[in-house]
Amino acid sequence: MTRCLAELAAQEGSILTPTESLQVSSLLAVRHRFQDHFRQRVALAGSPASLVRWLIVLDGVADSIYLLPKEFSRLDVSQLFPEQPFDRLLGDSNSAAETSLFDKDHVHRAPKPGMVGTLESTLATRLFLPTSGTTGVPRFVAHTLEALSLPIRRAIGKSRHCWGLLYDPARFAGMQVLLQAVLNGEQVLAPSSEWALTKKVDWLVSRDCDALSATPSLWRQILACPKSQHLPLVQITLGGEICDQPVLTALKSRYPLARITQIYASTEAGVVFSVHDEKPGFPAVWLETGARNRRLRISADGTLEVTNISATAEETWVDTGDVVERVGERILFRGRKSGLINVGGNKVYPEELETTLNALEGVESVWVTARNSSLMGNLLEVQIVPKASASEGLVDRVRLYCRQFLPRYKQPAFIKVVNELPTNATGKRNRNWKTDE
Amino acid sequence: MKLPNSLPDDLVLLQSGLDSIAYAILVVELEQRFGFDPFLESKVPVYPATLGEFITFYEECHRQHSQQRSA
Repeated sequence: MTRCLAELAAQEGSILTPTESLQVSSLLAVRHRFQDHFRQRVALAGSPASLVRWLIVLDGVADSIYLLPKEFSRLDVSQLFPEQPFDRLLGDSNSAAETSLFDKDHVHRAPKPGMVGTLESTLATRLFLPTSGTTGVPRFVAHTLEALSLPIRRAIGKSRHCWGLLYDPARFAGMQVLLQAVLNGEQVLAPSSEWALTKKVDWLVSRDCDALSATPSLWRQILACPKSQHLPLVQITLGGEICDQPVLTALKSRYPLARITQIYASTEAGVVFSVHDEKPGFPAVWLETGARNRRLRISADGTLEVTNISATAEETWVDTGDVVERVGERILFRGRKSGLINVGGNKVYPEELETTLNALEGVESVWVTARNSSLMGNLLEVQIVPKASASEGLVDRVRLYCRQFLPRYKQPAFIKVVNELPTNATGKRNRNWKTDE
Repeated sequence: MKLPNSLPDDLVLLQSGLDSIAYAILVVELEQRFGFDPFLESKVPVYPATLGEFITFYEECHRQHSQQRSA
């Protein structure tokens, strides 16, 4: 039987932002009011508080919910959804009617006899989270909140944490932080997304944030914030990118009381396992023992395969697409088989960028590669073969175009004009080459 | 991206006008210039917060690097 978020939530959960304080208990108290008006398809865009507000009252009621991250607000919604898969867009600014529905103290007319006024059977509301597609257009993947909640350990009887939210709550990693708090009755501290990182950290310090989840690249920046040493952290979580030893060592040194958890998750397999031993990768012995009720093996291609947890007894193997390498007693992550480049937690498809740049005037051909970065994981390097007589000012024009039209992490860090693109002995180019030196 | 008028030791790197990618590019360019990356090589697990700390970080790593070379 499906259980909705309201049934799974703990009363004590709360969300604190610079402008408001939201209690889960007050949302549970008014949830029944939404039963009749929202049995439809909705899209949600807005602050973390808005998202939690609407998810608690609509999960189990709405047919489907599309989550729109902050960066989508720049795009025209009709561009994103030419076939309009939702009936209503909800978010920060509610109508007067919607606001009164949320108001615990607002007295509503009792439902007429015979009208559906009590909570009936719970719908398995489909929650659509965006994921990066192979082209520039994002893909939406359906989940249920119940399924998303499965990997979250119930911290029954354990101390109540204050989780800082630095991710976009409309994306998988951010949703995990929100659910962690809502399910376990903890507090989420959600700073304003417009603030610079130093201001966010200052605010989190002032609110006694003791648990924080971020990518390794973001952690390196957090460590460089002057006030971050004052965060009373007892829980440090890393994910979304390959993690190296230097950042783990720095975190252990700065926050000796904190438990450090690295979460390994993939779009294909969900949350696979977590590592707590403060070393990169995972123990090679897990290839024999398994981890967190999944079995692990390395494919002939050198990628990690894991068994899928399914309701039936049948076990299927899923290729994560992550290239791994055994080094002594550790299995280390080396990158994506597809050649996808992870720039500080942001995914870049080199082919997509090449197509974009190839269309520019004066460009004959383009090759995008990754250069290792001790701060961002990878930086983008682009080699361009110019059309004859067009190389003058080409680098500047390409740079200008990228600054104007591409998100920051897709703007190439290094641009080189070359006479020809590199090939190997058989005239091919390998997606997994990295720029050396 | 505009840089500040002066570059004092207590300038906070994250507020210097460089964003995280520009900062990472700087570190790559410094590695090409000096032949080492202290964020990879340093025995001290720190991420400098100010310009003064950043310079000290590089000076210290350069010292370790030269000692290793002459050893």
